[in-house]
Amino acid sequence: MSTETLPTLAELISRTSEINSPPLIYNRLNEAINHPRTSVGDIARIISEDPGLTTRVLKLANSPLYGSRQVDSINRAITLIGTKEIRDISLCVSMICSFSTIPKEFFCLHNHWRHSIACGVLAKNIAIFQREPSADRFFVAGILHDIGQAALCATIPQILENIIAITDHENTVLNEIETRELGYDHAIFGAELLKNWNIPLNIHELVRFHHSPSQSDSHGRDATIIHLADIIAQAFGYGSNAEKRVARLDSEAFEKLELSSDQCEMVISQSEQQIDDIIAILTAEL
Amino acid sequence: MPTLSIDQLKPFMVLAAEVRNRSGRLLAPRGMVLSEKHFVVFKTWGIKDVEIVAQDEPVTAEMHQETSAISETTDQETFNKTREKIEMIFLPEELEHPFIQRLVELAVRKQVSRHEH
Repeated sequence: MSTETLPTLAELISRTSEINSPPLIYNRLNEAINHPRTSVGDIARIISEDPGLTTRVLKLANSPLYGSRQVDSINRAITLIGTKEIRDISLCVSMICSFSTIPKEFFCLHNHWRHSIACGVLAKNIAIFQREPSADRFFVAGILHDIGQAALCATIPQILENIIAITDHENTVLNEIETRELGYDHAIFGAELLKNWNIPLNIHELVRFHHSPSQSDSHGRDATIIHLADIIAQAFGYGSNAEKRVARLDSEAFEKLELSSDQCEMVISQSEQQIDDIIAILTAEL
Repeated sequence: MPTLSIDQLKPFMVLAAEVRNRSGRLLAPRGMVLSEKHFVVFKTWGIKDVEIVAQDEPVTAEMHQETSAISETTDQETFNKTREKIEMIFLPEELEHPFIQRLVELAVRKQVSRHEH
């Protein structure tokens, strides 16, 4: 390993927070949503202050993921998508726009978000198949599941590059090497980061356990959906560039989900076009 | 014999005519009893509609015979090469799980069809 000293989880969180501030717009939207007198118009005004976010939200509302309706105003988009969902999507959009400090040589941000968005769309569609309530949170958790990976690249690129190089010679997956070398993996780091930014449990818990859903006490089933979406995305060519191999299937968690391979096929064929559309919308200027 | 669009198909319907992709490869023979699996294959290959045996129409013995002929005639070499590439991104022990095997199968088909179009 490199001579650079390995940072502890707490050190890394504080280092990341210096580079990537917790998304301001998320906190403002959150405050507004929790205020009893807030109207859709108030939320729309906050979003409209950010032209980039406004465009992406409108395009998303018009995409097949939300039924391809004619949505021409932010107010209608909020009514269609939902206030909490709009808040979470704005979180994803601001996350996608950040992490610009990552060295491009060994970590392609575009591939990273391509993988994350594919995982988000697949997770949402699996959740719909499984009749899970509020399937949109799976879209958000899917997009954020590897946020720790992007943050590791932004803060300790040299160390991560060495870790990635190890996976070339060993028959193992990236998160196992991370745990061995750092004492934590990108899933734990990502979850801690989100927790630090006051992102709710039903998102950071899924991020935390996306490689080991059977270990989650409270959100095992939900984390399994992200886990499975991650594996499918990687297998179908929407891989992230840091992780070259498909994650190990947590078969204990997988059995509990009771998703037949026929259902899985349906999810995949349903998601394919949506994935390409959403990637185009959310990563337009990367 | 009614022609139905892919979206109208239901499991256990029987094909009244074989289904081929644009380059003429056989995807499913006449007489095939359809399942969810076929709907995905048809969608993957861009099939819009298929001919179905009307429910009161008898399924002939001749039709049944054709189903036993294997439905995959796509160039085996292309399949094998693509499969090898996809299997490489999995840990070897993972490939023993039936679900992963199915996933690889689907991913191979998808990739081969992407190349064809």
